[in-house]
Amino acid sequence: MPALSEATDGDLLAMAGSKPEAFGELFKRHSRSVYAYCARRTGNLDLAEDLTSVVFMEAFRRRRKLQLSSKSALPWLIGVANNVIRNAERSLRRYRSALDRIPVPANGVSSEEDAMERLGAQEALASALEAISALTQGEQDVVLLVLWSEFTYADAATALSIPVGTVRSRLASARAKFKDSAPVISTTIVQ
Amino acid sequence: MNVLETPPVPTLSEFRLSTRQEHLVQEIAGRRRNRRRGGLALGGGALVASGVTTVLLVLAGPGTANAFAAWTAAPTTPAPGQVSSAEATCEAGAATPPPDKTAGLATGATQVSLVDTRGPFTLALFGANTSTTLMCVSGPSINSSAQANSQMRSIGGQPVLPEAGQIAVDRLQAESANDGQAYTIAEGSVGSGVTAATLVLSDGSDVVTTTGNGLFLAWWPGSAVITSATVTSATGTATQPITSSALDTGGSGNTVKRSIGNGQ
Repeated sequence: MPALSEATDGDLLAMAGSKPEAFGELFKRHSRSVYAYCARRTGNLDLAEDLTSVVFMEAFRRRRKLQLSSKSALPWLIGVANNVIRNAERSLRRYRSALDRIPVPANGVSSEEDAMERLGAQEALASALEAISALTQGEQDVVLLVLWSEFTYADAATALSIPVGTVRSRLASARAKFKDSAPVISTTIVQ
Repeated sequence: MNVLETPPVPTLSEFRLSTRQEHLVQEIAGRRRNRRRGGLALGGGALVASGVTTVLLVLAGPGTANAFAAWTAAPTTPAPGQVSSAEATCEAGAATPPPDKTAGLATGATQVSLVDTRGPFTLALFGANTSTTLMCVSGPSINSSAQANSQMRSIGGQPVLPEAGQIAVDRLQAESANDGQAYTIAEGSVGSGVTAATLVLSDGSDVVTTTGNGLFLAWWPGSAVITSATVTSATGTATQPITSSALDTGGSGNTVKRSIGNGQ
């Protein structure tokens, strides 16, 4: 059996039932990406941290139904994240007692500098979300994945459980809307 | 910033991530230990009684609040003296006549075939493939005074050997600890070439078996039955459906279960 750090995502998922550390390794590999996605979807960094934990607990629960379509489990994890975020209130309620057991102040910050950085980032995220709010939910999904998270079309399709062609068409539609309205956020004008 | 460009997200510190990672692992491990299991699920596999007698000895250890808190889904390296102590107690207990019999049960069955250790728990199989098989469980909070009978699987008096690269479940035995928590013991044979086997249970969890001498052993808290096995051999890893898993609750047949007081 390979060392956890050398195991594939598929191996880790297969081992997770009997070896919880294997799922811990999966968290180590993908939690930053899941966190960034949750942050961009919600615009709330504190909430995104808790949602990241919930995504992995929920992913563990669902792992038996998974059929990995690529070497990386990330597209599947993002798909789980989508469901968790859509039902954030219910998801957080379900795992509240587990989240309460996190041993340190989960959303605490270590310095004033960190606090300022987080505040600034949250404002930028809120502005970005506001800017794409005119898009349909489907268009927002592909913008978040393909443009903001740098997913391939295929991985975005896996995460959203839609055909690749739909990813392309939604992205083209989103780009067309922004080209028409020339939206801006911050101070940079889009030509 | 262009709205279609990536809005930056501050990177989470290693400390925050490792804290969450450790929490996740603990939650998963804790969920396994504390999972409440449903009623007994009986499979439809055919069990044929044979002339083989199995004796299950349940050794009583000091009680704990959670009987299976220290149980692990994968076998662990035994503590110094753990196996020899369990074996000695098993042998002594087997040689002592039970209340309703005039002679001990394990004469000639004291050859250890396989030992499975999970934390402080020891499951030992003596005398497999002989006329008398002795299976002995010991650990904290595992105690039972009930006698029970059950059946061993074989056809025509001969054990059924699994095909190469496969396993066969010979026994699935339901038990309960001091505090009433159920646990289940699985014992069986492994075909040639099998180097490892993990049981997939009806509740979705996995239990890694101990294999050796053509046999496997495993046990787990709760009453879940086996639905499949992930079997590893030289040719790779394959999933084997297990369709004949019947949970033996000690109702009939020719297994005798005895309890030996030990620290209660």
